[in-house]
Amino acid sequence: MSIPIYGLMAEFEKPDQLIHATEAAHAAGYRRMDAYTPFPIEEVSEAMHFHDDLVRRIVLVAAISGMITALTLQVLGSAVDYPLNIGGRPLLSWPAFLPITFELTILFAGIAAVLSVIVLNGLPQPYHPAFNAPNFERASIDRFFLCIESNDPQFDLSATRKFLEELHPVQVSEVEQ
Amino acid sequence: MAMSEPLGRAGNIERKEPYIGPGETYESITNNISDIVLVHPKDTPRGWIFGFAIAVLVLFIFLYAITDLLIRGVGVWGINIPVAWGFDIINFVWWIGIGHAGTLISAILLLFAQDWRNSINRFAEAMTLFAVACAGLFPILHLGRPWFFYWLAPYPNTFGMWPQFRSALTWDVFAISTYAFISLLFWLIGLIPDFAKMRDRSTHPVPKFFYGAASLGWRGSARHWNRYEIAYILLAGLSTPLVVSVHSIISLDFAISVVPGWNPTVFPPYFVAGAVFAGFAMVLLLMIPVRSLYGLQQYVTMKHIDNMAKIMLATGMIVVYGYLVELYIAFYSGAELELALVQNRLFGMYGWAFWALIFFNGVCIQPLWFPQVRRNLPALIVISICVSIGMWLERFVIIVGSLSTDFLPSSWAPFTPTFWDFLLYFGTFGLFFSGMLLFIRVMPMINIFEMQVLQYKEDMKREAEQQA
Amino acid sequence: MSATSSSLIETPPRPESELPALFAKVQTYGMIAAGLGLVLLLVAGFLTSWTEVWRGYLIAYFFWFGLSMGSLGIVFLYHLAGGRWGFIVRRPMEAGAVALVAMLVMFLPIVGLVLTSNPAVYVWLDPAKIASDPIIAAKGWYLNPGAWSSRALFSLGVFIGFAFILRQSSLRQDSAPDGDFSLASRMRQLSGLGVLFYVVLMTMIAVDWAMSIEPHWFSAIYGVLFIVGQGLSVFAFIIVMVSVLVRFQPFAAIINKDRLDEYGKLMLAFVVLWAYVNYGQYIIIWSGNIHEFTPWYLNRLGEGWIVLSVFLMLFHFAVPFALLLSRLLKRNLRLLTLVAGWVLVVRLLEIFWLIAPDFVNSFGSPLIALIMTYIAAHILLGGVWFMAFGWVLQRQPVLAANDLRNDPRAMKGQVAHA
Repeated sequence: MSIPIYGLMAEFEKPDQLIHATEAAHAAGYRRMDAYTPFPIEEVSEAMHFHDDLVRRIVLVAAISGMITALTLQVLGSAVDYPLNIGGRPLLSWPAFLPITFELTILFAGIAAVLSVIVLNGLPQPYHPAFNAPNFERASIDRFFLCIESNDPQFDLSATRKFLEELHPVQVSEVEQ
Repeated sequence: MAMSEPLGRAGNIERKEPYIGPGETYESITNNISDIVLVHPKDTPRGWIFGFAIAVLVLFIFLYAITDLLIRGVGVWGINIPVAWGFDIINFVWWIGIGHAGTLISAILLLFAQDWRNSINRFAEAMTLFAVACAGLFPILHLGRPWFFYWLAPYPNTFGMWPQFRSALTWDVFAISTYAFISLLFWLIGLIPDFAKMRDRSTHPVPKFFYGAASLGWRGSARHWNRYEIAYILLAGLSTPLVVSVHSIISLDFAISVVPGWNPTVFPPYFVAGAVFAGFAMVLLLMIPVRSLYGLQQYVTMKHIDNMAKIMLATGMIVVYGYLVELYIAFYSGAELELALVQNRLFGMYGWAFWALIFFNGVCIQPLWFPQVRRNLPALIVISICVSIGMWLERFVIIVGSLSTDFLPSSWAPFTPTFWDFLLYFGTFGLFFSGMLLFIRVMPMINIFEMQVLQYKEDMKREAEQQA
Repeated sequence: MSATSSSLIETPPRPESELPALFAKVQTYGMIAAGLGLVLLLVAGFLTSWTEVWRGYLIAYFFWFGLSMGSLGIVFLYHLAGGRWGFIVRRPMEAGAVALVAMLVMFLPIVGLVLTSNPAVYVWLDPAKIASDPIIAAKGWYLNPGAWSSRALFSLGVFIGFAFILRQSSLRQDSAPDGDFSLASRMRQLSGLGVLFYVVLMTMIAVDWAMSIEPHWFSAIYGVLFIVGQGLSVFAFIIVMVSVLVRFQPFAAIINKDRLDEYGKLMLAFVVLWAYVNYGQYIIIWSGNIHEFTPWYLNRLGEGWIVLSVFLMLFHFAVPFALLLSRLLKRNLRLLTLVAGWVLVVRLLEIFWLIAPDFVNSFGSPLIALIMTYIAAHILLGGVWFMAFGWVLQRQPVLAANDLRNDPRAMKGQVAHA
């Protein structure tokens, strides 16, 4: 059965109401849902049992590749391609290579951290159905939203609406695709 | 036995002074901070217009000084041989040091879970960016032919040459550009959720469009926040060693050479402390007037000011430790050269600068031991100005003082700055302040969502106390 | 944080009443070790020479003295900055700082050695050297028995004074009336002053006791190397200690994964700081390549010492650093304790590396003899340290009460809630 809506959006006044609602929704078996808050609330993503370690892993890989890039660059530049005696120091002067190695490690890792959060979050995204919910402009200011999406296997328009309304929201509304 | 008795006694937790004024809500925080920016252009505060006009005027003076330099060359400055590094390098180190306080606030204090940094990190990060921009110009202008600045970068070229990777000046290129880039990213990623707030708050379609585009369609999804927080803390973890490395590498510009007075082994940490010291002086110098002009006392409280003054005192004492340990080790060593150096530092050609910096950096900060002084705004402004002068003089003593009296007494020569030296230094304030003022006008100068986090924590604390 | 609720230990925690017995055991074992160490040191002395006994003893002394100094530093830090991690270990750290009294007693033999102008450790006491070496002669105003001993005793006296006053005030705070902030603010002021004395006098001690062994060499960062080392030692020690204490109430209730994570992060910070200050000194001396400064590293980069130098780079920095980056490891009691234990082991090697090469390469100590006496001296001094530590711990409540910034009740509540 296909439902022509994106999901049901419940609006809450307080962060702890949202935390409680998210916990309840997860306990009731809903999985395809998302919460929208003006500021990060760790307990909400915990209540959704959402874990994503990908950012950390990407950053680690980027850091290591930055390190390798820097070492390769310096070894090739000062020992292989352009060997030059500087004050009698060895061509492979590891103590002198550490600063640049460190800087490029940080540079690569930092760029990876920012890019991975943007890409993994699917940004930039000019259109998203959530913005169709009434009063959603306050999701960035002082309201806390929970959306149970229609592609959740348990989603049933009336039952889910009833479930959400029992959680004392300000309002529950259907969100268009 | 130890636990039972004290547990019976309740109500002895010190009620901490909150970092956010009373009576705030999530909405009032958003509105108060974003309204500063969303005000209609014709209602822009006159103070801002006046300040911006002056800043732009100074910026033009800066451009004039640069143009003259490009036409006539570095000979317009007072540098000579042996003092080949003059105001340019002093200003470079001074400006970049000022930037470091911003990174300290945004990254190190975040790692130490110091929530109060939430109120000042955006502003301090902006300060970092413009200070680094000012700093970065000086070594490039000092190149002689600044238009070939890209020769500094390692790229396959027709000369068949590579940068000299064993030189601290090449390390500088990597350190400063990494620092500038990472600081920019840190600042921008912090702005994304706030741009979304601005988008939702603005009523006029033009700002709504631009803030909407800048927010990348941020919608505050819990999944997004989760990744965002991980990346943010990782960036803080990366920036912390980065900021230490940047000023350490700058100290190595001096320390890996053998110029007298340039190679004490204490240089790297001592430079880092000095940078943060000067940086906090600048943050206070900017923050105190801005918070009263825009009525931000609810968000940047006296407790914030007090904390910043404490950090200024602590880093200042580390700097004083650096001076003392250099003298102590010189006396301990009994080496002729070290003693001659001390003699020259204290009583030589630039002895006056040394004593002045001891006064400005060492003596002037001592009143900060008293809480009354740490909460006295005029006193703090005076002390911050002293510190800014003192830290500039410190670099003057190290650079000009050491170069003018190198190992070979027959080559000793004094350094006399010219009009153009002063003009260029003065001009950077135009670049710095026009950047800062533009930032204040178009972006929320306090991180709104992090202030909401602060409010959330305060609310939770208050609830917990009511239950108890 | 998500994992606050999970307990760190599998077995149910033992009651608080069993703690005094544990501390008494620490004291007894310490006493046995001290006796054994003394015998071993005497045996080593007869087998080798008394010169080596003194040298090994001095190097080992730096570690145990440093552990007390680190504890004192943590007490200062806690009063200045607060923080739950500091609250938990506040009392043990106060005890560790007061153990400085035992360390003072153990230092008296060295003072005696210097006052009798015996050049076993300090070559600048040798009249022949003073006569033949102008640099040593020029330092006579600073490096002479009277001045050296009075500086040492003065510094130890100041540290002991701070340790005592802070512990006394802390114990008085336990029974202070509600809402009485006077003791807390007094301790804070004292700690501010204390940090100044700590840094300045510790720099002087590093120069006097260690740098002057090779009187020709000098480096301005030297005092900081010791201060950072003490910080690292004490955080490693805290983690090992916490892994024991967490099996008992009340610690079982207030030490959770978040606290463990904090200790791990602080240890990581000091691992990095150690590498930073050492690299800073090395790159400056390596690049300058001036004959006044290079001998110190030449001593440590040749003749077998290079093996220890590389070992320290890898296992004092690189490996602990890489391991401690992991969030999972920092939240795992057993793994973190293993790493902390390892850090303590490499600390012993690092202090040996910092001082011993000068004896061996410049003044002809036989390395094997120095190692033997070094180990024996550790057993003696470690025994004395733990004896004092256990003795003090038995005579004070294990947690501070009436603390303005951390209420154990609130901390318990927080654990239960999350």
